[in-house]
Amino acid sequence: MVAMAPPAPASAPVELERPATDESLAPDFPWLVVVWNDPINLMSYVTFVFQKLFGYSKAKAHRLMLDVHYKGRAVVASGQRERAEMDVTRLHQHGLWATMEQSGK
Amino acid sequence: MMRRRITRRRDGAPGCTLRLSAAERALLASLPRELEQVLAAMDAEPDAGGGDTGGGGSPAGAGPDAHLPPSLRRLFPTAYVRDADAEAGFVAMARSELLEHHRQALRTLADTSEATTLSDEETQGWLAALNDLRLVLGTVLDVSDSETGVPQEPMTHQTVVYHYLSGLEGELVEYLAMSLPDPIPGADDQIPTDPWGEPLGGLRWDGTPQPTDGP
Repeated sequence: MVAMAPPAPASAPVELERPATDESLAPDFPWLVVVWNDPINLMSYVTFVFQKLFGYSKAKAHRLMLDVHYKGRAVVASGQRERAEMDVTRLHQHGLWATMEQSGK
Repeated sequence: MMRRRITRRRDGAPGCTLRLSAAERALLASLPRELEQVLAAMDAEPDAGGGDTGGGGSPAGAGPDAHLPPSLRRLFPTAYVRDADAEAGFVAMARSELLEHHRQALRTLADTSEATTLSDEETQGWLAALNDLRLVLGTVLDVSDSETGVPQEPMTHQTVVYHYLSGLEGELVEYLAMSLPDPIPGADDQIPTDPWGEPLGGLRWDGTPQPTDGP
């Protein structure tokens, strides 16, 4: 592994506020961050973004990219709602089609 | 094999060396201005602050951005495809920052289009700007597949530019990937398996029906 320069920050830290919705009624299932197939983004770019944002190995990031490409989508992260929103925000900043869904629904 | 246009600096300093022709630099200086003009439509968007979403029951994909051209919508994807209220909250929270992120990247590209070296931060800005430009151009050109669906005929100016940006972005990705940190231990094991046997409610990112011709 080449260790030249320190990695550039994925993006500026984001202070996220929870949207005011009726989530208080929702059970505490984790939120899933989904990336959808994209006819334009380069496959190498998508793999790179998964590595950069989530710290995945290249093999894992490549497999997720292939899932996106061939299956139409892939769950790339999960967690609390705030974290999922931050992940979606960063993915949007990188031009990926990312959505979030609560599991168990 | 073309000579690499983006390489590490020979003096060992952080950042890269750019070897681009005058024509390439002129193009890279002009494209951000064109996209910035397109982005100006976002400033006039009255609902950017999370106003009327067209009703809580309407599909998120037909919500606050429905009036925008697809090429512009592509830069502002929907986060909550099945919850218009949650999407409105997300837009209110994240939209202005996302818009500024796009603009900052375009400024970086325009401001450094004549540079012979880039810092790591500037290189990231180039990557973001080139990707945004490809997304908009690819949407206009109705590109159907990232590897094979790039239109070859007719070979218009836009098509040539799209191919050019694809090649340069590929080199940027290759360069930046060399500087990625080691993987986070355990990160690979933290993804849940896809819990759905079928696409999410038949919807995709923008609330439109999910194509059914996949494997």
